[in-house]
Parts: sequence; structure tokens; C-alpha cells
Amino acid sequence: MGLSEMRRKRNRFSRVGMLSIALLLALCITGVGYAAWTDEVSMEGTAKSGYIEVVLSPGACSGPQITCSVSAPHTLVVTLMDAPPGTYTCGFTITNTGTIPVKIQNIAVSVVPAGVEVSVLGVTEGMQIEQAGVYPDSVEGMVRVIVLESCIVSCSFEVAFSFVQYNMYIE
Amino acid sequence: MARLKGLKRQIRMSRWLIIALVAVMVFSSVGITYAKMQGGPKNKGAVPCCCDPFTWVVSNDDGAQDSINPYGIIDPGDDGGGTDYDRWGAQSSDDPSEPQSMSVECDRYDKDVARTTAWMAEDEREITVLVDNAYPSYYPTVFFALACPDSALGTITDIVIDNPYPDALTVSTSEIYPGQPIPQGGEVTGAVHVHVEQAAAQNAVYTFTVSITTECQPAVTCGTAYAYHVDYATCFLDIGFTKWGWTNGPLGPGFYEFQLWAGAADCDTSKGRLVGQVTVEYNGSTAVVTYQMYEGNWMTATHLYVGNNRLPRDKKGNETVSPGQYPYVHDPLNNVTTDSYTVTGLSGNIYVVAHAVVCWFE
Repeated sequence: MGLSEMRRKRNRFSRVGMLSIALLLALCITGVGYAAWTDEVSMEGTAKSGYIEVVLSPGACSGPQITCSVSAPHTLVVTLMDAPPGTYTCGFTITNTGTIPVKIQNIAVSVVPAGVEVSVLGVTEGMQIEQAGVYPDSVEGMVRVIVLESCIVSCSFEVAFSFVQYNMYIE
Repeated sequence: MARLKGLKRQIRMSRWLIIALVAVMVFSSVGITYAKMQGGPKNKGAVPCCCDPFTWVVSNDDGAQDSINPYGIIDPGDDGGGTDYDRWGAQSSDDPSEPQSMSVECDRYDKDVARTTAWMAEDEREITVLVDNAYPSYYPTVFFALACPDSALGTITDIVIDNPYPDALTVSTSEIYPGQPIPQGGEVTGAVHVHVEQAAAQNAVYTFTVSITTECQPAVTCGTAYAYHVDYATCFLDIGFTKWGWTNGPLGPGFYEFQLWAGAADCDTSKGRLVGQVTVEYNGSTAVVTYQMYEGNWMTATHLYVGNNRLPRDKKGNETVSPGQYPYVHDPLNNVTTDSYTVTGLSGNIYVVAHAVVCWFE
């Protein structure tokens, strides 16, 4: 290696050294400035949401001519078999097993056969059902069926309920 | 040959120097990173710590009203007197349905379903907020205060809300803003509002962070200062003026050192602060007057009188002690620690009145 080449190399190392020193100084100044003049505090938040869970259960019926069952999610299916004219009833229970109070947003009776009148008693739209463990966290209702003309073979219809959290009810 | 060996040795040394520098840089970076992870370095030096600590925190739906001096009740309505549905037992407060302003009632639902609690970490640098059993449209507010120590002035430089779940939560702040000053020895109050959105899922956990960056400056006090020499000083008060300060003289040719006292009301140095010294080098015709501050003090103006009379005179020919009427003025000065005048054309004994506006960190 020639003398001049070694000098060049030495100069290159000197430049790198100077650059390193400059970087180091900049870093130190930045650190000192950061320490002296700025600071940060924070707020750490956690939001845990509750849940809505409503269970619809069929109750006792007035006789063998009428039965009711629940089809998902909140629909009561009422069936009449060989029912002569008269009044029949079927009970049901709505229970809030969630952590948020609910209101009944809508009660819809569908596919009502001719010659049959249906009314839902005991519960109304807008009724509030508190969450599990808080009275009243369940309500009982009844489907009343008036058969005007005999339901010879089988007549069935549905009563569907919808629920919303208590502060979301729309009148 | 010997020269070649010398060059080789120098190259080896340069390599080691570079390696050492790189190592120092790496360790410095690690140190700063660690400091940041620990919530920022704690400054225990001459510069006071920044305005970092939270001083108090209050949730407006924790079932109890909170009274903070001097504001009074911070969260009216959070009174434990829920009208219905005591999910939280005896302390039931109706759920807020809109952002609350400090000390002002807000709309609430008629139920106590959710609850929000907030508390400070022991070092008062972090607040934890827990919103429990939340549901869409629940809208709690957390109030807090940030304070500055007596020795610092602060500014909120940045407020960053990190909300990874914007569809489920809306997090906002009020009452604080970037650029807001934090008074010396005082505090600023702020509020964080959390709105649970319709898209929030049931049985879910959402997190958010509100980071507040503050910048502080040590409080600066400035005062008027005068040169004083125990053997030559005459207090202005003793010659019929109502302001304190000294004229020094008569001074024959020679070198003199004066103390520079700030805030020495009634010319009582025990009430003042020794901020520097003034030297006068007088050769019988020229006086060189030099102000020199002690560490931690600086000047924003100087006013000087040098003459054969004990005091300068105003335009009407009356004696004056008002610095603005001294014949030699350097105003303003850019926070300097030294200042000098050369006054020529002098003769005989002289008097010196050296005034400065001096500042220092509290």
C-alpha cells in the first residue's frame, strides 16, 4: 500500500470520525432537550360492552285444541287443531337474561287464518324488561284466540316480538 | 519504514475510535428509548420538572358526586340518586347521554346500566378509565386536571387520541387544547368524552389512549438591579428620592469592583439578590464599565451614568434616578451575561450609577 493511499484512507477515517462526533453531539443535545422541556402523560381507557339476550318461552295453553312453540329467535307459533268456535289462550314468558334493559319494539301477528281473531294480552310495545337480576326482568303474556268458525284441521299463525335496548325504543 | 508504521498505528486507532463512538451512540439511543418507555426522563437538575402530573380525576358516572376545591361539584347529576334501576346498588346514578361540561348538569337516561370509573396511578402520570357494561349511546365524561410546579410555566403542546375502534367508540376531549398555557403553580382542567356507537358489539372490549404532551419553561423573574460598593454607595432614598438604588462615588482613578444587587428594596441588600458584579476601570479620562452576571442571571437592558455629579440630570436640569434618563443606554439586550461601556472625556472624581434589568429562573 502506497503512502499516499494510506493518507487518503486516514483522511477518510478522520471524516467518518468527525461525522460520528457530530451525530453523537446532536443525539446528546436532543436527549437533553427532551429531558428538560417536554413530557407526556396519558389516559388509558377500556370500554367493556354489555349484551342483550331475551328468551321467549311458551306457557300453558287453555286446552288440547291449542298449542304453542317458539321458533327462533323471538317468534311464537300458535297452532289450533280441531277447534270448534270459542276462545282459546296460550301463555308465554319473556325473560331478559342480558345485562342491558330492553323494550319491546314491535309485536307482529302474521298469517292469521280466516275466521280467527288474535290478540296479545299482558305485554305491549314499549314495555320495558329489566336486565337479569333486576325486577322485573321477565314479563308474562297471553295470546288469546277467538275462533269464529271451526278450525277443522289445523290453523296456525305466528306472533313475532322484537326487542331493542331500553334507550333505543322508537315510538 | 518508521513513518509507515506510524500511519498504520494511526489507522488502527481511528478504527477503535469509530467503534467506540458507535458504541456510545448505540448506548445513548438505548438510554433515550428506555427513558421514553418509562414515561420520559425525570429531570432533577436545575431546570424544574415539567408540568406532568395529573392532580385529580373524576368520572361523571361512578355513582357519587365529586367536589374539588376550588371548583365545587365537578359532576352534578352523578349523585347516586338514580331514579330507576339500581344496577350498582345503593350508589346509582343515571347514565349520561351527552357530554358533560365541568360543574354543569347534563342530560341523563332514567337508568343506571353502565358505569365509568377513573383513577390515577401512584405517580400521577397516568389515568386509567374503565367503562363497564356499556351500550350504544352511553356517553360518560372523565374530568381531570394537569398542574405545573411553582417553578415552571407549562404549555400543552399536543393531544393525541389513539382510538383503534372508531366504529364502536368516539373519544374526544374538551376544555384543553394544544397551545393552552398551564399557569405557574396552577392547573388546567380538561375532559375526555367517550361515546359508545351503534356499531359497538356486545360483550366486546375496546381500548383507547389519550396522550397529552406538555412543554415547560422555568418561570423567569426579572427585576431592576443597581451597582453597590460598601465604601462608596449612597442610597437614593437618603438623598430625597422615593426609589431605591445607589450612586457610587466619588471615585478617583483606579479599578473598582461593585456588587450588582437586584430587588434590594429600601437599599437593603438582605432583601435583594446578588446577581453579578460591575467593574469600573478609570484612568482619569476614560472609564470602562463592565457588567458581569453570575451564573443563572442575564440582562435585558443596562443604563449607566458616569460623571462628576452624584446623579444624572433630566432635561430640566434636575437630578434624576430614572434609568431611562441616564446618558448611556443599552436597551434592549438579548439576554446577555456581560455588557460593557467605554466612557471618554472624563476628568476628576466621578460618580457611577449602573443599572440593569436582570432576569433569572425561579
